[in-house]
Formats: sequence, C-alpha cells, structure tokens
Amino acid sequence: MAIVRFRHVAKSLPHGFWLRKRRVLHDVTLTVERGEVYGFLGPNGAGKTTSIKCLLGLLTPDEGDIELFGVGGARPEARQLVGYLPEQPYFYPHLTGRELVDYFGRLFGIEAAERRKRTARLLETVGMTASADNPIRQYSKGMLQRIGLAQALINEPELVILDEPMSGLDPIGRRDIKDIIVDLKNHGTTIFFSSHILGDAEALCDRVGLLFGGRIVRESSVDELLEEKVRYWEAACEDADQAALQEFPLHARQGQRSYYRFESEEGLGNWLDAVKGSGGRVVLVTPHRLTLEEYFVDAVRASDSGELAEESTA
Amino acid sequence: MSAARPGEVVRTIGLWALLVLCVGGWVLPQRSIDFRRGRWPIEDSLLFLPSGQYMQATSLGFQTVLADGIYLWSLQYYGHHRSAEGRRYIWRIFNVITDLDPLFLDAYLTGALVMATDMSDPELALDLLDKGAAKNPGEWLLPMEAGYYCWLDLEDFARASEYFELALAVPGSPATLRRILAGMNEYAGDKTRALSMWLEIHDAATADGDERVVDIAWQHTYDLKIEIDMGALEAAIAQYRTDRGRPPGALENLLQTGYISGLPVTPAGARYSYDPVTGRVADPRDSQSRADR
Amino acid sequence: MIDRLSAIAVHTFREAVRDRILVLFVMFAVLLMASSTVLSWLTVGSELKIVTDVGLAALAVFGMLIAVFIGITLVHKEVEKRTIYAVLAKPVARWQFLFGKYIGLMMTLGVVLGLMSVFYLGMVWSKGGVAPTHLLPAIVLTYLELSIVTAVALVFSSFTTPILAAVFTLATYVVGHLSWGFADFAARVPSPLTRVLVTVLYYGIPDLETFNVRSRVVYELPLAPGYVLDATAYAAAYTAGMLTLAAILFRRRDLV
Repeated sequence: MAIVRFRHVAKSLPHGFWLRKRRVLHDVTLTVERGEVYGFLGPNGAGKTTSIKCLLGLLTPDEGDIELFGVGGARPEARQLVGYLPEQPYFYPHLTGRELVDYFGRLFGIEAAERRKRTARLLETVGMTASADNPIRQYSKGMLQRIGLAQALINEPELVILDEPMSGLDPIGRRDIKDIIVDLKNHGTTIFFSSHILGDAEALCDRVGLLFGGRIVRESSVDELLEEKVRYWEAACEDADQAALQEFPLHARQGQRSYYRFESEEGLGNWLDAVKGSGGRVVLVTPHRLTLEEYFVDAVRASDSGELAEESTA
Repeated sequence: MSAARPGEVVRTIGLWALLVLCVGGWVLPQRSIDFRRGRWPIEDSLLFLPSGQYMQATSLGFQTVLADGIYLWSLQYYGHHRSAEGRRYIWRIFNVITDLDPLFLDAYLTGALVMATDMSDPELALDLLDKGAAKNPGEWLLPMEAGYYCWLDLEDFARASEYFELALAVPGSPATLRRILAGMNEYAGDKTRALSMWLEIHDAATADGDERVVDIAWQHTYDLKIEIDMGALEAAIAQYRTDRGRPPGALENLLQTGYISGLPVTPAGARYSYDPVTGRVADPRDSQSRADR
Repeated sequence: MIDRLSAIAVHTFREAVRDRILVLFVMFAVLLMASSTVLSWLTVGSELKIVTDVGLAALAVFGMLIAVFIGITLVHKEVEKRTIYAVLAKPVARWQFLFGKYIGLMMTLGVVLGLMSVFYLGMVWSKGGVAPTHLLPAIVLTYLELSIVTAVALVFSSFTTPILAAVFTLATYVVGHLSWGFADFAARVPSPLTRVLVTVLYYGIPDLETFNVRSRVVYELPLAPGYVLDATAYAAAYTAGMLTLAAILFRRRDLV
C-alpha cells in the first residue's frame, strides 16, 4: 500500500528581492510503499525540502496532487501518524528539550502520563537525557538534530519524514541516526528521508528517488540502480606472458602486476582465458559500479544546458 | 488542480460566510452604541479640549495639522449641534484653533461668521478678527470683515470706518474698499444701498477671479437680502395686524391684500417660513436662531 | 481540538511572559503611574484626579503597545525562526494555530492588565480612601479594546512583515479612535458613492472610541444601561470576524 503519493506536482516560489516566481518543482511523481526506507536524493537546490513541505501541507502545490495516507497532506488528520524532522531544525529557544518534546506530544493529543513515559524513552534513545532539562538555546547543532528526531517520534509514527537528517553531524551522530533509522525500519516504520550525501542512502535505503532540477529523474530500488550499470571491470594478473596479452588494453603496471580495464564482461572473459593459457595468475577481478555520485554527475551533465534554458523562461 | 477539491471549496465558502456573520454581529451593537452615544451630553466631547497653548506644547511640532483636524472636526460639530448651548463652545474651539495655527485665515473668517450670525454676538467675532489682524498684519481681509460686522450687525459706523481704514492701510488692499467706505458713510444704515454695493463687489470679484472675495461678498449679499426681506415682511405683517387686529393666515394674504408687491424668496430660492399663530417670519435655513433675533 | 488549542495558548503565554519587551512595558507603565503621584504634589486640590487620569491612560497605552508589539511578532517570529514547520507538521490546522496564539496573547494581556490594575487601583484607593469600583468598567472596556487591537495585529501579521504589520496596526488604532467622524462625514457628503464608501469604512474600521469611557468614569458619571453589554457584543463579534479573516488569509499561505 502506498503511504505517500506525488502525482506530477509542480510548484513555483517567490525568489529574490522582487519576489518573482521561480519554478522550483517541475514534475515530481513518486510513491513510498509501507514499510520501506525511501531515499529522496538530489543535489542541493533540487527541490527536496520544497517537495517535503508540499507533502506536509506547508506549501500548496500549484499543479498536481499529493496524498498522504490516502488523503491530502493539507488536512490535519493526515498528519496524525507522521513524524517530521525539519532541515536544520530550530525550536523554541526558551523551552528545555523535555518541554519541547512534551509540547509536541500535546499537539498530537497524547495524554500526560503517556507523554512523560514516551518523552523519557525517546530522550534516552537519541542520547539526550543528560541535556534534556537545559534550554534549547544552549544546544549545539547535533543536539538540535537529536532533539528534533525525538520530537518526530513522540506520536509513534507510521511514517517518519527526515529532511537531511545527517547534515551537520559528526561521525558518531551520523552512526547514531543510522542506527535509529535501522531500528525504526525493523519495527515496520516507513521512512522517507532526503539527503544529498549519497553514501548514506546506499547503505540504508530500499528504494530511492532521484530529484534533479525539480524533476524525479529516476525512481527504483537501490540494488537495481547500482547493478544496472557496471562501469568497468578491473583485473590484474602476475607472471603472464606479455605477448599473449598484447591485444588487451593495459591500464597500468606495478612491479610484477599488470592492470587491465574492461568495459564488457565478454572482454573480461577473453582476457581470463588468455591469462590462463599463458600460465599467468589472476590476482584481482573487481566490478566498478556506478556510484550515486557518478550517477548524479552524469544526470547533471546530461540536462545541464536544457535545464538552465528552461529556468530563465519560467 | 489540487485547489479544486470539493472539501476545500466548502471550507472556503464556510469561512467567508462566518466572516459575513461576524460583520453583522458587530454592526448591530455598533448601531445601538451610536444611538446611546448620541444621547450623551455634548459637553463630554468639549469638556476635555485643552487650551491652545497646552496643545501646542504637546503637538510634537504638528500644530498646524492638529489645527486643521480641530477645524474640520469643529465644522462637523457645528453641523451637529445647532442648539444655542452647543454654540457656546464655538468661541472656545476657534480660539484653540487659532492659537495652534495663528496664520489660519479661514478659521478666523469662519469663526467670526458663526459668532456674528448664528451666535448673534458680533463682539465675539470682532475679538477673533482683532486677534487675527494682530497675528497677520499683512492681511486686509480680516479688518475689512471686522468693518462689515461693525457696519451691518452693530451699525456702529465710526468703528466700521476705523476698521476699513486699517484694511486700506494694508498694501494690496482692493480699490473697491475705498468706495465701500465712502458709500457706507454716505448711506449709513441703508441696507438696500449696502446690498447693491455688495452685489457690485461680488460681480467685480467674479470678473477678477478672486474667489475669496466672491465668497465673502456672496455671504454678505445673502445675509443682507434676508434681512431686507424679513424687515419688509415684518413691517407688512405689523401693518396688517394694526389694520385688521390679527396677523395674516399666510404670507400670500399680504400679497392678495396689497401689503406687499411680491413674495420674496431667499437668495437660495427658498420661501420664508411663517407662523400664523405668532405672526412671525423666519429664515428657512435656520428658523430657530432667526426667530430669536 | 480544545487540547491542541490550550496547548498552543499555554505555550504562547509562557513564551510571551518570558519576553523582555513585556517586562519593559509593564515597568514603564508602573513607573508612569507611580510618577503621577509625584506630579500630583505640584497641584492643589486635584491630586486624586491626576493619579486617576494618568493611571487609566497608562493602562490603555501600554496595553495597546503590548498588544501590538507582541501581537505582530506572533506568527512572523515562528516563520522566520522556522519553528512553525514542526508545529504545522503536526495534526494542527492552521486556524487552530492562529486561534491558540490569539488566546495565549489574550491570557498574557489579561494577566498583565490585571497586575497593572491591582497596582493602579491600590494607588487610587490609598489616595482616595474609597474603593474605586467606579473605575472597573473603564478597565474592562480597555481589555475589550485590546482584544480587538490584538485580533487586528494578528490579521496583519498573518500576511505581512512585522514592521508593516506594526505600522498598519498602529494606524488602525489611531483611525479607530477617530472613526466616529466617519459617521458625521457620511451624513454630509453629497455623492452617494462616496457616502456608501465612507459608511462602509465607518462600520469596517473598529470603533475603538466605544471602549473609551475614561472621561466619564473618572467623574463617576453613569454609563447608559446596557452600554457595557453592547460594547462586549461588539468586541466579541469584531474579534471573531478578524480571527476568521486571519484564518482565511493564513490558510493557504506558503510557508517558505
């Protein structure tokens, strides 16, 4: 069952001093299924936060249609089972972390005793128990991120929306957040998170949507995305008869070792046969897959010129 | 389009309907409040008008704007409270205005007019004009006005002459003024003659395009015409009463029986009102104050 | 729903009472009232009048300043500091957010006005020797006036920046105290179109002079029977109207 559904969503936002409208989202179509971790990936400025705000009803789409649990996101009841961590969250500076989580719990209509219990547990989960009674104005960026995660989970949501949850965190913080996401996933929570750091997504996501220039350019499972294209195979051998391997493209030589690169599996097979036939030893065969970074770089190159032309006319 | 969801439309209509309901909800009590407020004694609004000097100190440098505001307000107020009691405060209001803005000519002129005609107190008018003349020595209009009030309302020709001489001494005063002075001295107390002179001034000023003088001349023409008409009507009624032992039943009776040669109308074209019981005529634009005279 | 409203209201109240500007205004008001005692030494005979007048004026003016300066930042501060995103991502409707904020600010104003009034009435009592109950209607009506000013501030703050909202709200306050002039004006203008326009303005602009009975209660003059009731009905309807308008304006606003 689809929990989140975007259909051809477009949105323009005022920009610059004269507040001229500029199209931020051109065509966003995506679906998040129950129980999956969905990576909403794209470079900075692609429209990830704008899409999330449309989903939560903070912005009204100009065109298209968004459903959250089967109803429009602008309806408050649609958000009852949603937890949301804003990008670079900032909360009421005069409240303590505990007061903040408790306040948001009240907004979900959770009873006082239950609220207290959950708040204490969540503060423990995000590692904020020690600073829970300090005012938020004293919090560091990482602490804000942690308390933001705690408030996003106060209603035991079925869908957690995290906008750039890893940005600005130290390695320990990143690992903690990853652990929490994995834990939530194991309990059946659907997670929709945005990131421009692709390594995070590769490790965590079931599926990803790639957003570029306000358009979903690709939506698929992570494995599919990565397996689809092996860029090249790297292979190395030792003690082989160089003459027998002359026809193959030598990439580098390091001592006894010769490195070759193959674009196709067929080329690799021929080479393997040739090495064996010449009495050499194969010491290394590695498929080099396309990373998400490279995928993006490709996508950027492909649509760079066209995109810019379109924005200036929008 | 997401905007066209039926639920949203219903909610939008509902909100606007609620707004309209609220507007109705506040207009009703406001009408009731307006009604009550109309009943409060007028002193409420004037009791707390501070003196001009004090307001000047607290006006933060905006005394002329404040004076304009009070002037506009006083005109509204004057329109509302045409009772004798209400007018008691007019003198005070105009004093405050001219304290705040001593160069505000219209305030002197209007104030003097109200005091001389409606409050029937030319001396107050002269006070205000004297104050204006002292603060505006370059203006011939203020002493000229004072001269007219002396002449027409007080019929004090000596004082009128003094004022006219003052006005003539101001550079730029109109040449007609000397003729008026001469005319007044010659025909002292002759209202018909004065009327024709004012009409002459009115026409001359119209030809010159001097709107201020046109206005003033018109005002004097208006008042004189009414005074002359009412004098004639009152004389005819008195004669009628002497001859027949009772006042006429209507003004038309005077015409039918030949006491007057035609039924006069005010310069505005209205007929004079007449009370057959008391036998008194009145200026229709303000029956009460004229009757008092 | 009530739960959410009260949560937002209480939160707003707690935020407002920690605001330094509030403490500052209250301090000024109390200082002004206290200094009127000093002023009254300079006069002969009317010490009580001066203390009474200055105190009532201080209540009205500082109440207005608090209503305007906290009222206009209510929404904008949350947008600017991005605190609003987390709140509106909860199952909270936008009108609930606005309404809760409004109630919270009115609670704040109630407490502030209450405290200032206790100080003020105590002062008048100790000077005059009689319990100054005749001043209570003026204070109650001042609170009603503030409820309107706050609602107007909320309307402006729901679509514009705090500086513009402050200017608009203060302008409404000034014009609101002169709106009775529009009725006189409407009766006098010759053009029917202008008359309709002026009449619409007269009923559209809050008639804040309604809530100024200071010059009467100071002299213990009676208010017309039902006057306070009418004024209350007026304030309630006007406030409800402004909140609805704010909800309409804020409902589909993009929170960029």
